[in-house]
Amino acid sequence: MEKSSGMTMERLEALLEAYGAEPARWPDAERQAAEALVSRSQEVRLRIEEARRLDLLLAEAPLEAPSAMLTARLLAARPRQLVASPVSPAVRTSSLGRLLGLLWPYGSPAFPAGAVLASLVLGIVTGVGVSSIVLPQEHAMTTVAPAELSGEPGGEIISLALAHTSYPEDWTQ
Amino acid sequence: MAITADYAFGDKVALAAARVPALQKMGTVLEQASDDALLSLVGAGDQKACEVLMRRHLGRTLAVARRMLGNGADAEEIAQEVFLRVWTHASRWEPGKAALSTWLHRVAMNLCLDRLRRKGMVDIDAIPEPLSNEPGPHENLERSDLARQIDAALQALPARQRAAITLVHYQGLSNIEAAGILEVTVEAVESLLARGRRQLRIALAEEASSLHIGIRSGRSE
Repeated sequence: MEKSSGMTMERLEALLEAYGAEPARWPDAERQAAEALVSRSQEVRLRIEEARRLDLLLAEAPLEAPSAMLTARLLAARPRQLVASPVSPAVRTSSLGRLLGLLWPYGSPAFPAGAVLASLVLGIVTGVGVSSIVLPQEHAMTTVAPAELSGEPGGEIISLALAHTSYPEDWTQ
Repeated sequence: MAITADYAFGDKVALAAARVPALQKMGTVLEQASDDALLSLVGAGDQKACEVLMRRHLGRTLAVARRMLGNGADAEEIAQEVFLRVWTHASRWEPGKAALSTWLHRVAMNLCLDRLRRKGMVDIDAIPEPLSNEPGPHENLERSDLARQIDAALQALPARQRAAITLVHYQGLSNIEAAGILEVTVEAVESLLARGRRQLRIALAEEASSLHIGIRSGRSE
């Protein structure tokens, strides 16, 4: 039995059966020893011829290149560059920035913040405006009549006539 | 006024001309970039990086599917699915953790085996058509017929044997890499290869006997 650095004829035949005649396909760890045995053995030549014949046949198997349509479809589906956020990285990395990011994960928090501020201003302006409205004169007299007229004779009657609620009993008499 | 306009136009031309080498240099850099570097650019939406990555790996990915399924259209579907996964996961790719090539082979092979399993391993459409007698140049016809015979013999193999031959013989992976992808031992890969080649040798005996080869040169005479 011919042997080269641990490589036996049986093992070499097994390599040819599994990997074919091309040493590049043989296992790295056994390639050198197998090649050494091949160079010194005449009887292995027939086996190599058989293996090489099948290798050559297998090389004839059809193979197509990627079509232009496949390449175009993949390019169309590639990841797209996201639009850069106007928020500075410093803001995003600060704790306030992270909190804002949780509350408003859709980009800059300036937009919702502006909306909230505008609502506040509108509310304050409206409130102040309503409180400064001057009521009509006759309505004002209705509200102050009991205080002004309570000390005068017939004040109760006037108040009653003005339907003031501080004299409900009188209203029933 | 005209002079100013011409001067401005000249400036633009000069600027564009100056940018050409820079762009060429950038293209060269991308072509030489590692897969990990390209993937990080792909994740950021860089079109050029996507193109380079496809040029580098799409053909080999398609080849795995073509050998396994025996059908160009099905193979393109698999290759497309594999690369859509690359696009999806590119931004989360961990450099240095795994080789992209191995990952692509693994995903492509799993998708092919899944598809074959769903089809019950027998698909009428996947079986190559019988040889036709269509007219044409004699040599081309012979070559085409031989290719079809070999394709038919490959498709007739059990899927696992075909997978081992695809990965080791056609894709040039080592037995260790193939074992990792197929999730079997190296010995099992070797057994699959030996059984597959034995079956191919029987199926293609007639074609092999008509093939004259030179042992010393290793090429057809």
